Amino acid sequence: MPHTGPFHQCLPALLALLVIASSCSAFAAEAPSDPKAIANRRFDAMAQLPAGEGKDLTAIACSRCHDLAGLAAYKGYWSRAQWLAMVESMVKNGAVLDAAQMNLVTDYLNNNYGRQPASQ
Amino acid sequence: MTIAMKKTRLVSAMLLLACTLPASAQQVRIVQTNSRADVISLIDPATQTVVGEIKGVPVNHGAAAAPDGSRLYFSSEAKMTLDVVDTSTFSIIKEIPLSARPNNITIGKDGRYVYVGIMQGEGGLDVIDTQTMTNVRHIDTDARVHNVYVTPDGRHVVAGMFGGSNNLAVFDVGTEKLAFALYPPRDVSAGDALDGIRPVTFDTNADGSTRNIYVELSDFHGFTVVDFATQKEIGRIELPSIPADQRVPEGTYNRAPAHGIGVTPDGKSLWVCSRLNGHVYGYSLPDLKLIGSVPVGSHPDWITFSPDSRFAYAANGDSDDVSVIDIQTAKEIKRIPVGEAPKRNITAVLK
Repeated sequence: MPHTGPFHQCLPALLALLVIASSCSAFAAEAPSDPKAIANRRFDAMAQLPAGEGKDLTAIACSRCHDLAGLAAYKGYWSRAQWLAMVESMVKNGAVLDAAQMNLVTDYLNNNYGRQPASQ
Repeated sequence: MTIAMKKTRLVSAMLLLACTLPASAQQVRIVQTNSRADVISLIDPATQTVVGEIKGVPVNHGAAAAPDGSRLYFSSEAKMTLDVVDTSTFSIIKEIPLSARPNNITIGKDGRYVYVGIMQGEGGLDVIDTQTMTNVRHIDTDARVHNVYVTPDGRHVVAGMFGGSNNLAVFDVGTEKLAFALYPPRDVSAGDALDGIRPVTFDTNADGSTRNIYVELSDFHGFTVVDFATQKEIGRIELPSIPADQRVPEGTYNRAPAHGIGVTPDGKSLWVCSRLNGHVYGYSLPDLKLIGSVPVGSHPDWITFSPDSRFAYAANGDSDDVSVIDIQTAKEIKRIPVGEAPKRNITAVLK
């Protein structure tokens, strides 16, 4: 899968920004709902995603809105077509992915959380 | 006293006890979904504790109860089914395939049909016949449905949607035809989520008909007021301003700073969850005056009430618990640990 889109080229910088953001004062404020704990949990979830091609892109694209720890609950239920439908819905919702990136994220999700074909 | 006499007295005592109980004792339960698990938690509002679980509904989203309390219904995003649970055993008796990935559900006042919001592809509403336990038809909505409700008078189905030409659609229950729709896209280039309708709730006129719809919108820390009779927005209430250092990071609230809203069963107050700072805000009805703000757990997502309107139950999606709020004093009185990522909840009166 080619990784030549502008979004992919910006990945290292975006990841660095996320690391910086996780330690900046705005994230450290002690509000009643403990935003630091929430932020940390989300970044932990990103770190805990299984290794594989597309992990970083999946983490960045999805964590804008979602706590990625929730992905594990889907494990084993969906085919690749169903994961693609989910990714298409998320792009309509505002996820920033071009066609190649959608395929990359779909493959990553299907490889790590998809329904495996029945053994022959 | 002989053993036989003791047995006779014991049986007599048991019979006497049985006769003094109602023929069908009803149990109120707060039904709490846990979106990152396959378990639903059942809370007894008499003790404010979890007294039971329903298992086998992965990525459970919506919940609804049959009016007679005999069944509970849950949508499963992972299985893409509507699961039917018998409340005498709390086990799943049927998994009904849906047209695509579901979000929230609701049930008609007579219990005949469950309406399932479809949040994928072309969206729409799947209509489930509860007598035959089959998916009998589909209502086109022109958009993906996030939340769906039946109005308190049972006359209308209301869909809150993403990506439609209008994102709040009201259908007549009898004809399943569109009655009216509101909220066109604000900025299509920003993605549908910006225009998405989040949870809504209703209050009623003296005759039981729908008075207002209270609507939470994407990217708005508050709610709007839609007059049902004139089909127009008549007010917009912003929750109290929150200092920047007390807000959660923007990406964590999924473009829905206010998410979770409900009217107490007595119709006297409206309660609104803020993900932005982990609070629940109360407003008097019908005048919509702020009556209290209650710190709760992290990421309050949904709210329901005890039937006597004494307590509210706010599901805290990030702290994995439910805050019990005393309505009269506007104070949190208990936090009940539940499953992972609790979100939608309902109040059910079970057989």
